[in-house]
Amino acid sequence: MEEFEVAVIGAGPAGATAAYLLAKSGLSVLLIERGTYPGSKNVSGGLIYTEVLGQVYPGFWEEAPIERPITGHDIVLLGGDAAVALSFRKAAVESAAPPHNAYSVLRARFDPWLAGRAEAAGATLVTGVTVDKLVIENDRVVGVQAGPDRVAANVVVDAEGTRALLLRQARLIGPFHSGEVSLGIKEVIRLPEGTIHERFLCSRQTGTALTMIGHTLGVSGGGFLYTNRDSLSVGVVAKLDSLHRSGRRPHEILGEFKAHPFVSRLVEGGEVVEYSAQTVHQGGLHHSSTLCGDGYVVVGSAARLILNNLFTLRGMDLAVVSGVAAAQAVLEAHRRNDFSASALSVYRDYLRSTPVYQDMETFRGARSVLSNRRFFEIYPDLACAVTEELFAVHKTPSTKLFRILRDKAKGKVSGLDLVRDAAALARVLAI
Amino acid sequence: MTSERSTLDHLLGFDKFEIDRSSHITIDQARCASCPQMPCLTVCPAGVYRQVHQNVVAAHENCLECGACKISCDSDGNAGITWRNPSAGFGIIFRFG
Repeated sequence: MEEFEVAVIGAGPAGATAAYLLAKSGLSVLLIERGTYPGSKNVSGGLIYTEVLGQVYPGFWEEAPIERPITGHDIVLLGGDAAVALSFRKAAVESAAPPHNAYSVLRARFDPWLAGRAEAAGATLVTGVTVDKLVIENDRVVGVQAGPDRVAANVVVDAEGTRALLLRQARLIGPFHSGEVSLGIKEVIRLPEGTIHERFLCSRQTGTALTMIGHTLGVSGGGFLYTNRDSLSVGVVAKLDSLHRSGRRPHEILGEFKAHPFVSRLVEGGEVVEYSAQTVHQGGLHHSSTLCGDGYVVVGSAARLILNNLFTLRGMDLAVVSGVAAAQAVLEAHRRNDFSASALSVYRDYLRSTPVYQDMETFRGARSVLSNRRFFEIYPDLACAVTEELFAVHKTPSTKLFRILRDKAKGKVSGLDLVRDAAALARVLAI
Repeated sequence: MTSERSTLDHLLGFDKFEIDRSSHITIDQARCASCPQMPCLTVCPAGVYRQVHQNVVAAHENCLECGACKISCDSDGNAGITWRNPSAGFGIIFRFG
């Protein structure tokens, strides 16, 4: 039986970061990846916000295979054949020196670099090895089992990702509910770099992220489009229970979404090079009790560390943050030679003190909006109809905004619901 | 139905798979036969699950390993799906991700 001080399951951003920091501090670390190469099983939208990434990997933007700086953000409401957009651009952001606030990445390219950093720091990376179970003795995780091989470790860092098969198998967490999980489906669409620059008004140093609401066949969720270097990542994220109730197939929803006139002109002429899917947890603080136990810590998506504030869906940077906090906790436990649940619980404290974790607290009301179908079925159309009327010139005299809104909303949504929903949205975002 | 299937086949054709001979998905037919909702038939983005006569059959070779089927099955279905990771080296191999 092999022995390491630390066994890390999964070479995504959470696992690779924990492995990197622990190996750098001189611990013996085994980083186990089930894919034939890191990233080969991983799917993201994929924007990574760089605040923490830059602290852990100074100058990463010089060498990491990132796709494109994301300097522009569009929020788009899609009506039947119309769209209303709110578009952010800022010259100082576009011309700023790196690191930029966010980059688009493709995981099959980005994750091998991260894992490479862990390897260079002294971690042992094994790929194409699937951990079958956590080895548990006397209610304590003491290692991992992969086929006939057993690896003993003082502490296991579980970075197995969103499905958390090992944690569920060991009954360290309960079953998931379809009301708390979304399905993301995505196409990577190749488009010449020059075409991307023309279509999105960007250069090599700038790029755009679009968050879109509406036109998802009535399914609660939204669409996204990110500019990569010479491709686009285009997808839809749909709540699993809503998807099931709709009876519509995921690829149908993505197909309809791509066929919307506003979206189709952005992807026109592109060549699909990959179709992918991934489940995304709603995330949130109520799950924090499952972050660690005797002999283990849970990081990244396996810990359901996802932040959805309606306009951004963040997972990768939370993964990095949790990898950092876990590494700190494991080092602390290592110094005291105590890997019990209470010793490792400093992980929870470190995590709670980070800004991203506090963001989860700030935006926790988002779920009430996300489960309100009017935001996906009615308001995008309504916004388009009202905006159209604002600019229209008729034979009859014009009316003011409130009257237009009342006329267009008639029969679709009550005034009371409209006010209530506006207040709910304001509570999540503004107040 | 045919065109819907072919659209999906077309999409899956862009993906790289290392196909395992044995399936990582096991179906408990007794449970599935009495499942009133069968969410797996709807939510799977790769159309892995189909109903053939009384049985649910899984085309495991198309699985994108997203985890949607298992979650929906456990919470809205009849817990008839057992889903493991494919054997090491097999399954979907994302080249972009």
